[in-house]
Amino acid sequence: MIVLGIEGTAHTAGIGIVSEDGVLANVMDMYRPAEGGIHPREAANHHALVYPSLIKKALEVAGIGPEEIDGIAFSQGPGLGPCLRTAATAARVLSLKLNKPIVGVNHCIAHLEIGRFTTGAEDPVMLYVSGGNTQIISYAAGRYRVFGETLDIGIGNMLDKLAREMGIPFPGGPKIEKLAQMGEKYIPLPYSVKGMDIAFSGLLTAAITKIGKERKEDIAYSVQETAFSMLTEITERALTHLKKDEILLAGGVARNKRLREMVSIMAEEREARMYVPPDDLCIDNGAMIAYLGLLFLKNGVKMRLEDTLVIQKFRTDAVEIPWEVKKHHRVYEHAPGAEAVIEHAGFLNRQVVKKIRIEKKYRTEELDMFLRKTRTRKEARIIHELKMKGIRTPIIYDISMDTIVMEKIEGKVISEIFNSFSKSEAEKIIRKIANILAKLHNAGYSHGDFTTGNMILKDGAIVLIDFGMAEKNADTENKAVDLVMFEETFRAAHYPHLDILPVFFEEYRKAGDPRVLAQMDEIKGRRRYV
Amino acid sequence: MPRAIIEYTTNDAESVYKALKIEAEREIPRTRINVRVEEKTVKIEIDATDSHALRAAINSYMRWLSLGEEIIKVIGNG
Repeated sequence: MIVLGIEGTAHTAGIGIVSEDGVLANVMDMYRPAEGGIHPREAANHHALVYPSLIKKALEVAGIGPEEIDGIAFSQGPGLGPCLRTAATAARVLSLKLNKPIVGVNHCIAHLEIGRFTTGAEDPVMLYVSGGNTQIISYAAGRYRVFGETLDIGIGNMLDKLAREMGIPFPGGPKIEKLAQMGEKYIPLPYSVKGMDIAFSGLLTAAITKIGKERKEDIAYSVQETAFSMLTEITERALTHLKKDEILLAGGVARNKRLREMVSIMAEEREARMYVPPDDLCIDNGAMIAYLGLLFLKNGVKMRLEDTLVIQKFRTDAVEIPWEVKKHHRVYEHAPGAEAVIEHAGFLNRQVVKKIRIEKKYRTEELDMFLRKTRTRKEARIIHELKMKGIRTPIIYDISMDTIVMEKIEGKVISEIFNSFSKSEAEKIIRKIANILAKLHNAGYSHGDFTTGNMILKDGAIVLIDFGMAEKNADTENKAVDLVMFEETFRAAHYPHLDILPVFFEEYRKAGDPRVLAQMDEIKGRRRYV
Repeated sequence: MPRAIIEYTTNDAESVYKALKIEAEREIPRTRINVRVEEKTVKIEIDATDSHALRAAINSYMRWLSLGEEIIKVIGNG
């Protein structure tokens, strides 16, 4: 089967032709604004102008005639409306004139599937980093799901904006990379990881204020070190959470050598493997769209013309995957922790847990020491304070630079038992969870990693653990992130009980702050494709 | 209310009509589009609340019409 794919979600107009055996052609043309950022209609105009010649070129490269094409695929979303509609129009015309089936595909999933096709990765956690997208995507229960993402701007846009402020034209990312290689001094910048989500706007604002006061090279270096450490950290968290051991890099920013280096060091340290597709399949391209289309068509997915309307905010988890994603063989029994190791030990005749924040070689020594020290100290203080406020947390026995010695909670981790609960049991527990979170928020704190993996059920009561990402004096945003994260990881991990998720929000609404719920909707609206 | 009518005559009127009609049927702010086909002519009627919206819609449809025409040239009429 031979499929032609049309990419057109943002800057890149791409045409690819693939068969089951490989990529036959992959040609593209990128819209480059004279100045400033992307203008959607200008980009769409560009795409409309170049698609016909790109199609001609792709057919030549593949060495086939149009009649040999068995199907047409296009990027249905997520992306910019005018660009998407232009790609879709081109696809419809081709499909109608050649009388071949048409299929619209999700751009983010296309990155993942072309990676699996070309690198040998089987069931990876994908770190997808481009201009507008920064997401952690992986397969769970029949779908690809987003486990973490940026809460504000994409990494590529962040680097481009920084470059613009420094007087470097679009696209600034590659030039920032060059400057960073000559950086010598690490300037501390805001480091913002919330569970498996991250935010870049604080980092960007702080970096901009350094322009003129510090060397450009040092700013570029410090921004890269900080931002890429954040990306590497959430990737590692996702590996731990999903108990997987393959990482796939994708998106334009995945070409950055320092990011690759950091992720590969992290991978090596936990015996995972990192995969990166060749450059022209890493960036936005038509071949990945063609390949995903081929998978759908081969699996009997049929689209009517009226199903080909574009979807600007096309969610990754809206797509059912009809083919098998093989589980990687070496699935960890107990996956290594993302930032700390847990040791069981005896302490003054008690059974205790030692949480030791280990050195991470992927980040600079300075940032590493800073994060381990401040997180250990802060976590211990919050655990203690919450206990005073009547929230069940472990008792702390001892603290040092990187280690907290605390009570071992004898009980079951909720993430491991929740799916086997009956509906009424699950409801009872989720009400408790909502009430604990409301209490924590009302006391002025946020948890930062509020998932069922951090809750232990002991004698019918829930004990909260892991306050490594918690905040004191948390703002509405921090608290809302707890809700967003809980919902997203719940959707991904506890699909058998999806129907009781509304109970959680109903209960939180009664006990918590309505502004937090409002902010949650705000975050969800903002974090998708902008 | 500003209004524009594009009449586009081509041997491939049916394909062009079908390719455009789907997006035209969706709600667009400040604009209403009606696409019809009469023999070899695709007729696009655009009603907009103001001239800016009208111009944007005309540009979009002209862009897609010429895109369709050029693609059909590339793949021939086979």
